[in-house]
Amino acid sequence: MHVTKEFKKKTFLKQLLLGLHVSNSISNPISIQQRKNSIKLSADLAMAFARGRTHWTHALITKLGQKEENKSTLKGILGRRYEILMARYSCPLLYQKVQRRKKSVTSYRFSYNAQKRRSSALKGSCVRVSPSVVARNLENRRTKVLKRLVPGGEFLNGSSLLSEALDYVISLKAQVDMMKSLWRATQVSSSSNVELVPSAPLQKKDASCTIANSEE
Amino acid sequence: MWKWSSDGMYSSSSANHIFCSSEFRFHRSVPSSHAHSQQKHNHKHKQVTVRTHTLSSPLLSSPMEDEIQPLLNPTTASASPSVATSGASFTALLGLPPNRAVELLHEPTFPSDPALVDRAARFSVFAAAAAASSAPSPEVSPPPPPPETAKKRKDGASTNGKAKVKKGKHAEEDTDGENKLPYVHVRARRGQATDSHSLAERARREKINARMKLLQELVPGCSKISGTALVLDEIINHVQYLQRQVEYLSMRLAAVNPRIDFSGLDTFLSATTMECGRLTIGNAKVGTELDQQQQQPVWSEVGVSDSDRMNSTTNSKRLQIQLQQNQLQQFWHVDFLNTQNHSQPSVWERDTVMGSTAPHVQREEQHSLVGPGAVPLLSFDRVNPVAPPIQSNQQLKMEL
Repeated sequence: MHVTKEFKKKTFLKQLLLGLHVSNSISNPISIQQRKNSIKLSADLAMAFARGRTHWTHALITKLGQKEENKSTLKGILGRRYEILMARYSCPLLYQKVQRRKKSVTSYRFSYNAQKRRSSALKGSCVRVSPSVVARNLENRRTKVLKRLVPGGEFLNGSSLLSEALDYVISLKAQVDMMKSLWRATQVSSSSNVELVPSAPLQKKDASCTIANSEE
Repeated sequence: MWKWSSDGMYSSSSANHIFCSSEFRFHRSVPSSHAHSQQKHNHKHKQVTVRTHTLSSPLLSSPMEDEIQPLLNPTTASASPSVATSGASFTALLGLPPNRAVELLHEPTFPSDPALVDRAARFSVFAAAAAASSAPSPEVSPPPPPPETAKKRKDGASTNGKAKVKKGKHAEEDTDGENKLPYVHVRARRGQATDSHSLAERARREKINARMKLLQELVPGCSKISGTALVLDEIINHVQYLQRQVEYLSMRLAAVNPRIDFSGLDTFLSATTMECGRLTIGNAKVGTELDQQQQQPVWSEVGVSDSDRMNSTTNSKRLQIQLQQNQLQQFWHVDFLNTQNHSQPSVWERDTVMGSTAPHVQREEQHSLVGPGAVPLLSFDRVNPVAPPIQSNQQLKMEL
């Protein structure tokens, strides 16, 4: 992934830092929540921008652009293209659906199982649920959840949804890597200024190493 | 509508036309020569089957991949980007790492290596020149007058004398570099419905299955699972996990943020090359941040990427000594890639902009501590204009 996404990572980083710069200079966010949100916004926008033209990037940018407070950051990052994008995708109705609260998969599964249990309990053994039907139901539910997760996935179906999800997963991984590196960089720069470094965390290195390895 | 009377096969209706063009929309890029090359390597000289499992083994063989690789590198866009719609092309993708496959999916160009094109031309139905001579007999048919329309050939039970009819799809390609041909060329399987709808269904299903396989390879731990719903489940979990990680990392960065002053960003954006990134530290005499020290163990309990940070702390211990000696502004390179164990090589360097001398991205290097003005040990391929002249105490407010 490194080889293919190298070039994208450069642009991503540039955009991210640009966004951070913009968001920092604009307002002085007091609370950490605000700062976190601005950072996340910059990161998402930078990722979407670096990725180029795909369905989910457009959807993400449009969705983020709907909110009022993000517009300045958007302008900063996108520049000229902001205007173009806003003009092109100025149908807010479509994306109102997307802003629902996301249910987690577990709660969904739980509710589905509960429903099934209820239905089977009521009807006893009369419920003839053929395995294919069950499989199809499961698949439909999963697909719905996936549609909510992937930005812009509500309007895709089948294979295009899967391809967008694939792309999105790759970009998310790249984004996470980049932010981790950024974090590491700040750590280096900060911890170098520190006289004493606590040695206690070093023992956790092995455990966290495996986690980091597994996720990388 | 085309009639191929000489073959005894009939053309498909316009419905297939539409279907093929809709298929075309999704995968523009995968060249049909995949199918052709597979055919070439298929020892039995049968057509490429749509079934993935039969194709997986030849796909994974190295000569196949070597051949596929030059096919995949988009050399020029002159030749027609033929559309390979479903099974054959996607199973070709399966032999590749997923990111390459994604690239391919989005690649708009078609490789036009003349040798490969020639070879593909032999199998192409539309090849005007040498088609009749060298192509296997069931695939050869006289090219229709205009090259744009393709068709599905449907063989019924009677299949050119072959005992076993394989359904193959190979997209037509125009070897002369003409315009793209959006159709597929399908031969029906024996015993299967030759209905256009079922064929379309099957093509769609194959497409979906191919994409699922790619996703399976991408998401860790998914390859053992069989069944669509469970794989989808894993994918969903993975996406949620990644999104949560982004949130968490942004929270961490937000906590770090007050220390980093992004005002100097612009200067660094201009000053850095594309290969190296820099971090500037300000004067090193910062009073110790007790908050920060206390915070680090807290973060370490929560964090996932702690290994990197631990490395940084160990390295930084040694670096401090150097730091305190140098009161000037220092630059160093930080390896931004996920080098796993020794990830924080630092280079001391004065205010010069160093180009990256070292080779690329994925090198892991030990850092060595040298005095100021040393050569860069590492370069990485990122622009890191994170600026900060890290001031002293006043910027080191940590918030939890």
